Amino acid sequence: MGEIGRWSLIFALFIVFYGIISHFVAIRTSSERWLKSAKRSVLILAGLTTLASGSLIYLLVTGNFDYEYVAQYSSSEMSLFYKVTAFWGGNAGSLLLWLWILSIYTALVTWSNHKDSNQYLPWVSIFLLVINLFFAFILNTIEFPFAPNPEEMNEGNGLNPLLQNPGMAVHPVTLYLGYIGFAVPFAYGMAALMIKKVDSTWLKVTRRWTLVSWLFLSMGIILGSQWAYVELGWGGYWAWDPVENASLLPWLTGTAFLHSAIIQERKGMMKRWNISLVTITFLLTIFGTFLTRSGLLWSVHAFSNGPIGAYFFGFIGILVVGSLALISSRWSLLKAKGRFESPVSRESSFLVNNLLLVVSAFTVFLGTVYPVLSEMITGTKVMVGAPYFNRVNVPIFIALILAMGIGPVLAWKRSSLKELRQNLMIPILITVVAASTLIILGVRSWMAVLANTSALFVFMTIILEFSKAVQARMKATGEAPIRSFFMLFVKNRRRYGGYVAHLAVLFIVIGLTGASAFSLDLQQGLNQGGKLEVGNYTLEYRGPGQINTDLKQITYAEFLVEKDGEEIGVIRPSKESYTNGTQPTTEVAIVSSLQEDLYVVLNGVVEDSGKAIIQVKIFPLISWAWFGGYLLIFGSLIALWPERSRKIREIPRLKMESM
Amino acid sequence: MSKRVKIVVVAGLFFGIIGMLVYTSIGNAATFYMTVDELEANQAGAVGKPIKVSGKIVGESINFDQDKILLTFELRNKVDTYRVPIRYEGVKPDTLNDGWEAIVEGELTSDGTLIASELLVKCPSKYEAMEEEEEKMPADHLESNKQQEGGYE
Repeated sequence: MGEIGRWSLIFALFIVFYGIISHFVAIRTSSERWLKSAKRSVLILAGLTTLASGSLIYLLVTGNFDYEYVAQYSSSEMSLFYKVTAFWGGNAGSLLLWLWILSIYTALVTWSNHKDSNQYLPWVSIFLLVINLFFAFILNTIEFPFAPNPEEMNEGNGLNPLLQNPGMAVHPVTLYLGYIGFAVPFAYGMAALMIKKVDSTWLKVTRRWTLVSWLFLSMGIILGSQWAYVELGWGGYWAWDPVENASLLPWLTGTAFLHSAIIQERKGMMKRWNISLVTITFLLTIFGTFLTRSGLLWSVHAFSNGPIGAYFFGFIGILVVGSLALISSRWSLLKAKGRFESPVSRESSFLVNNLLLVVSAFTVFLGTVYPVLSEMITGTKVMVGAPYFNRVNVPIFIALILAMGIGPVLAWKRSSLKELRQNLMIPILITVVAASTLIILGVRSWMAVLANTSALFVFMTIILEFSKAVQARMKATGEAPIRSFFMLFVKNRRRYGGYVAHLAVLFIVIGLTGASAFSLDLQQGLNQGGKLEVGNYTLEYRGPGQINTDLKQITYAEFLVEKDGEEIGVIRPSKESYTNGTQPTTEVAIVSSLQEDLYVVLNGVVEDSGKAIIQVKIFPLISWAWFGGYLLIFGSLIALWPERSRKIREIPRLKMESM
Repeated sequence: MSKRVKIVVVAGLFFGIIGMLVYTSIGNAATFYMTVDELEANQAGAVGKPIKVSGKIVGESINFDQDKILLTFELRNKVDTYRVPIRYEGVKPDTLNDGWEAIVEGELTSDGTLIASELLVKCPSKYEAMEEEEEKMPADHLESNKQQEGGYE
């Protein structure tokens, strides 16, 4: 089975070459036969990578420890589920997963049909195949998923226990689906430049690809932070570490792109901006893979993880130079059709939104690579921590939220301040009252007041938008309120799905503001029978305990929890150490409610006395943020849901299936 | 004022504010990252600044006061010619072993002790022998309270 996988990858490399060349020939000679052959080669490529992935999964599941990768990430005692997820437990497998997904995407795109697709597609396929080439190359030269194991082993090391969590098992795949999906709009953008058709066709065709990728990326981020919160045991959901930033960066620029694409579709403006934005987003997805795969930022010396970092660096360099050259050679073609007519208009609110998102991405990028930059410039490695990211980005995000409230109220082309005032008078008044109330109540964190009240403001504008739309519909059609509310989503999914996503962002903002600005945190040692009061909670330590299984040893401490004097239950935060010697993990105990989470971490039990050392945190409103995360997914799904009207014929069948 | 001037002024203001924000925040949040050797070379300059120091744990120096929850130990350089005393108010991690690499974040006092706010021990778990040879570990072997493991990403 391993041999099959190995050879599939070797053949895949050749077939990618062939695919690129045959597409070129097909374009040059306009030969139908060449095109047919080129399109087939893409299918064969997807087949080969599927075969390779299948055989790796087979090896992992059957526990064939003659292969190094299997020995390293699988073990016979793991459940089937984790054996399969061990596929992306390490470098080589993750890169194979990348190639697999990318080649399937490539096949879907190559065999799709849309307006002018015979002009676009050969070029789109070439660009996608070039990306395939890079990953196929790496898998055949430096990272071998099917390398034989130099040692004889009867048992594998098994997947890192921290990763043996359902959310964490799915998280990388969702992230990858998102990362890789952005290759499609990028390839279309580049193809549009090649064939000099820079109208909005490429945006319309890739709208769904963009939104689906963005959705997966969002899901990846949400699942990742939830995993960190539940599983890592340091009591956080976002630490601004390089891996997290790597996923946030393309999300920020991707969000900007989702919005600015609308401007080009409707007004023919911002063409240069869009093509640049999609390029940057795609580059950031490669950069993100590079960051997580090369270990550049953690190791004391750059590229200590072998040549893979250098390869990625080279690839990013080629992409930057290539796409810059292409964009600049078509610069004059990309002239906007329309103009910004007024600073107070829907268009300019999109511009503001884009500017803020891109600036935020830039500051995050700067902070992430700062250690490398500072070492290059001054010779000393300087890291910037969470305070930098928060101080810079919280104000930017607050501005973004405000833009989110004002933007949708503005009319296209030209709106007036007077109109704006009329529309927003009530929300502004209520917001001011709410802000003063918060300050009078003793909230002293300016950012918290601003964040919460701007969220409230936007909430009201969204409600107003909905109620206006419902009223207008009721007047026009005579429908009942509930039906017309529902029909809004049926008739204009993108717009109202978008509003739901905006609403979701507000929940996230409120949740995160609550959890960061008003959290409690204390660490304490407790003797048996001792009590600890935190906020409204009282914890009574009932004593330590231990559970031993073949696989692990669980040390726990049992606490009786009271809230406002009423017993609500027993919790057992614990530490688990594994018999196979992998690092111990911490199992956090979380008592979750709508108002707050009580979060208890067992740091350790002192052996002789049985004294428990615990860290107790209270995160107000954090569950709102998770709810917001799910609502965001729901909102994007509304926007994505295929419409039943005539539009369905424009969307190629093959692509619909991929959604 | 013409439209152009207005745009320039607004854009200048916007980027000015962001620039200031970045500039002041980077200064405040910067942590110098150094090895024990580099710290020895620049001891005086590092006092009072937030630093991150990586070095090897000296096993015999480990002392954990259970009542105060206070951990003290030393970090040494590779050849053991220089040691940095560490004070950490927290629980002793299970992985705190002689010769393992640790990264400590905190502030250096004038008497040379590093008051740690965060302590990470790099975990040479499964490929110990292999890694010893190369004198380095893959980045995804960093055990920490604050950083997620590599691998799955």
